[in-house]
Amino acid sequence: MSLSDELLEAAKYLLRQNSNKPSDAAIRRSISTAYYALFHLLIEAATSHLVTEVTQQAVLARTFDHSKMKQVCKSVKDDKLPFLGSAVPDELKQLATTFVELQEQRHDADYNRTRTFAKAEAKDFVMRAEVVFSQWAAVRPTPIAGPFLLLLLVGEPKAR
Amino acid sequence: MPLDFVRHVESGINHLNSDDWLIPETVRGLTDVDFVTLPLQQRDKLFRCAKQFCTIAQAAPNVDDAQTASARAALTTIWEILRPYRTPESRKILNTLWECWQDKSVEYVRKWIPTFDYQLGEDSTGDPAIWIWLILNDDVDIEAPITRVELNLLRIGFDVRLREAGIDRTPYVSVWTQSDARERSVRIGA
Repeated sequence: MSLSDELLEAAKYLLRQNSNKPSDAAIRRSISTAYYALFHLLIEAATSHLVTEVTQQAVLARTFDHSKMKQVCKSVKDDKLPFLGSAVPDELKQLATTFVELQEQRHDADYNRTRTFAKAEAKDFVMRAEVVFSQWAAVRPTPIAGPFLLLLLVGEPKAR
Repeated sequence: MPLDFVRHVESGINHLNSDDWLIPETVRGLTDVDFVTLPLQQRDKLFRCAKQFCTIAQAAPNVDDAQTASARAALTTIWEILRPYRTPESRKILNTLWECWQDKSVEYVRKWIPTFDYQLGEDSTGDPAIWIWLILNDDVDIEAPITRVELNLLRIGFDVRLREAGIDRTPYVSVWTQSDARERSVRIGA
């Protein structure tokens, strides 16, 4: 099992705590862990696409930036990267949308103590993260996958 | 639904100088799981004023001047609390979200979502954002395939229609159950 798979399972496990009545902390960690499952899914894909040596992949993985990845995904979901060429598949747009949303929800779950989170909310996020795994499986073999993964590392191209 | 309630209150406010504002319909459309994003004290005040207004309106026209003044004060207080929902941008957003909710593609989910609420602000990266909370009936199975499909359609609808309406805000959509919404009030108030 990859790290991303394990993180997704961990996110689900947290919501089953205390006889399916997870604490506030468990709910927050579940949301955060669901986001990191996506984060690592994309990083695993990107590093294995860019380099072959496992040790090099691990080093490269540390260069990814959450904010850059979010901005790229925002542009993908809003069709603001015409240079990607052919129409962006719906799976990639939805994956990108979920990434953007979950990053923000993770930020709130980890840092925003004025916000209340509900179990239903966390469950929904975890299920959305799970769908991304199958969406990525559909996108990965397509020509757009490579450029998308590269953009996640380097960020959006400059306008000029 | 917040849109219904805001419209009814607005109608009442616009008719304060006539005879037909002091009617129960002026505060129609408010449920105990509405406006979950309002600060708790303000939300409590909103509900107290709505109840007060409704009580007096039900007795109208057999009310004295003091009661009428009290009802008027309650209504203007409600209108003030609803200020975040009355800005030009907010009105546009409310209407856009309402249109998404009315779309034929989400006919099932519409039966399960008695209300929604939203909050405007900037996200953690400083971009304009809208946080939307969909309040689901307690008996909705959030894991059921039909729920997943229609919630997804609703999310896509929000994203697309907000952009088409020129609202440059990233939507962040959460779901709560009605019990979650009620419990929040109890937890924070405890």
